[in-house]
Amino acid sequence: MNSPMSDEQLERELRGYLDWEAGQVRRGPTSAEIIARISGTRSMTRPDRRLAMSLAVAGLCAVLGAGVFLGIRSQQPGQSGAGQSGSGQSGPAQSGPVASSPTTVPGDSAQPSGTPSASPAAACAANSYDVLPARADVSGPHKVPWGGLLAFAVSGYFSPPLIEAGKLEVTDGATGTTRIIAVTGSRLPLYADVHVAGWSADGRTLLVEFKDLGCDSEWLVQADGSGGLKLGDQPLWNDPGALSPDGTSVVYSTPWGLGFLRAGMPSQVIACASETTGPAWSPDGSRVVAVCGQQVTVFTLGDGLASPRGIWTIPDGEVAVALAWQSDGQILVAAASGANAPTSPTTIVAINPVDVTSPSVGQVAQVANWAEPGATFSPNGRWLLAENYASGSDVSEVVDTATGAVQKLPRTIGVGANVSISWLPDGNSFLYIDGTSLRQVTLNPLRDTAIEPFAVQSFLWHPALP
Amino acid sequence: MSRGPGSDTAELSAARPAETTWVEPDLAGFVDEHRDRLVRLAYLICRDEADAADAVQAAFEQAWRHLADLREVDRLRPWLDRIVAREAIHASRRRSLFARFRLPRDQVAWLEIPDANAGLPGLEWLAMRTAFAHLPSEQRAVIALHLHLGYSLVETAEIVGAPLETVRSRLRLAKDRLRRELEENRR
Repeated sequence: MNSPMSDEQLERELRGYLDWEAGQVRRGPTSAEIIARISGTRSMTRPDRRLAMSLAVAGLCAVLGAGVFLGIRSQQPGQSGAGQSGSGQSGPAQSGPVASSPTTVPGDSAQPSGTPSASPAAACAANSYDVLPARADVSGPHKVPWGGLLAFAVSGYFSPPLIEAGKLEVTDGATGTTRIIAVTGSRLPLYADVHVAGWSADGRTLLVEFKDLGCDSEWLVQADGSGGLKLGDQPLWNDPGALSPDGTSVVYSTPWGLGFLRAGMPSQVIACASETTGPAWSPDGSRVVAVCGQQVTVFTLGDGLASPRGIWTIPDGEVAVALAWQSDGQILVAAASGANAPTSPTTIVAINPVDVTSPSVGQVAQVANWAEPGATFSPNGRWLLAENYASGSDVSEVVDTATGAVQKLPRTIGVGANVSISWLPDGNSFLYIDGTSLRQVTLNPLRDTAIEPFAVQSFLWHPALP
Repeated sequence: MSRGPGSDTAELSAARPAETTWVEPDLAGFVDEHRDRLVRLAYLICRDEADAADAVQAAFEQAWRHLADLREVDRLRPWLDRIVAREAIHASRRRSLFARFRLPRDQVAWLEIPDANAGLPGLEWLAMRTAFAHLPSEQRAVIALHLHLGYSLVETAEIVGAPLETVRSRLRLAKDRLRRELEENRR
């Protein structure tokens, strides 16, 4: 019997293989193709047969009169409803908590100085999105037991004229009625995708990211299908952003501070000393908490963009794996040390930031295991849903923050990467997507059940009807 | 270790990274310098030439648009690799999702289908290629960045946006799986 392959031997073989495999790439985009695309003069990188297919389809559609998908376009700046222009453009005057401030630096909509003829905005504008009016979908899913609304993003390969497309659907869980709210992608076989990033507190507005090849944009979309408002044309770096409770503003992580996006305003970055992660709004929408380097930091948005203020320093060697601003006003932080992971503990801390110059900080619980970043607190703060590698493979667990007791979930759900985890208001149950199956986990007693055979990519649930 | 609020409430600096030796590149030079490395990295992660091309294109567009925000020249390469790695992981997940759940094979005949007579892997790499393809894209990204591009584990963690221990776990799990499949293949 052969002896097991040593680490060194495996790495040596892997390096040889990777060098060989990387040399097998027969066709990447040429520099000229990349430059042309960036300059907005050409928009293809897919194989030629896909181009030929798309051109044939587009030609056929033109001959046939194009149909509904080709006839409805995004509305222009200044018009009401879908397609309002985004950052830096004229938009509706909106009252709100944010004004410019010396603490801000130009956001990522800023054009590189000295940029030659390249015009990414123009290139993206050429791929403008189709936004359809709402209509009933007769093939909608069945009623779901908790009622409320479910916003679904469905992406994939559709029939012509939308070759690759993403759809945004909203289902009324009480009646089972589904409306298609928006469709993106369109006629060229280019990468197209949709992600639902958040609901406003009243359930009327959705934050949606439409992602096309190199052209990501963020929209505030009315859940009743009456229209949408484009917030910006730039990717939001590493996370989908967090929608304010009033549904008008978005904060997101950047390498230099907290990104801030509001309709009709240029994007801004409220600078802090390091990269921000995990921004979360206060319940009244006047402040945001995020982790800036090792500091749990509060950004006050009430009267201008005030300087960020650190309220708690995460101990050296630890990282924040979960952050939430609870409805009772407390900030919950779960921090874990990577030094001896996966057996090092995770500590849950509650911060009362009534006075940010002197917040009270107290340890709530300590859990024996390392929790991976991306963990999530239930709305009532009772549970921390987390993932770890404690047994050498991914394990999903739920921690009772009152006792520190840990329960292993029946299925591994990919907590950090699963964008569809959605807690129900009672805090004792959550929904998630497994593959394309919608499932519900109830806690105490623990149960994991499939709800409907939805074919979806991501979704977010909201209890309110619009 | 203190967890009290006392010294933790200092106002944070609003300074941006220092502007040091940054020289604005021209677009052609920028693309030429990084294209080959990025295409190879994307391909190793997502295992599909068309998706790799899309990931590289998208990364260049994002990077060029945000170039003015990057003021430390030594961060450019890992910054680009980070964008490409994440785009490639996303493309890989997406392809996997739709290949499993949404795409009857007869409807996707126009997707990339390798020419059986071209690019046939050398026999010495056949088993490794098969095993490597079975890894999740996140693990392939760690291996490509660490073992192919030579980033340290700390740098790899920064690029993929995961804690060091997660990256170590991914590397260990990947090696375990590769070792298992390779040894099964050799029996």
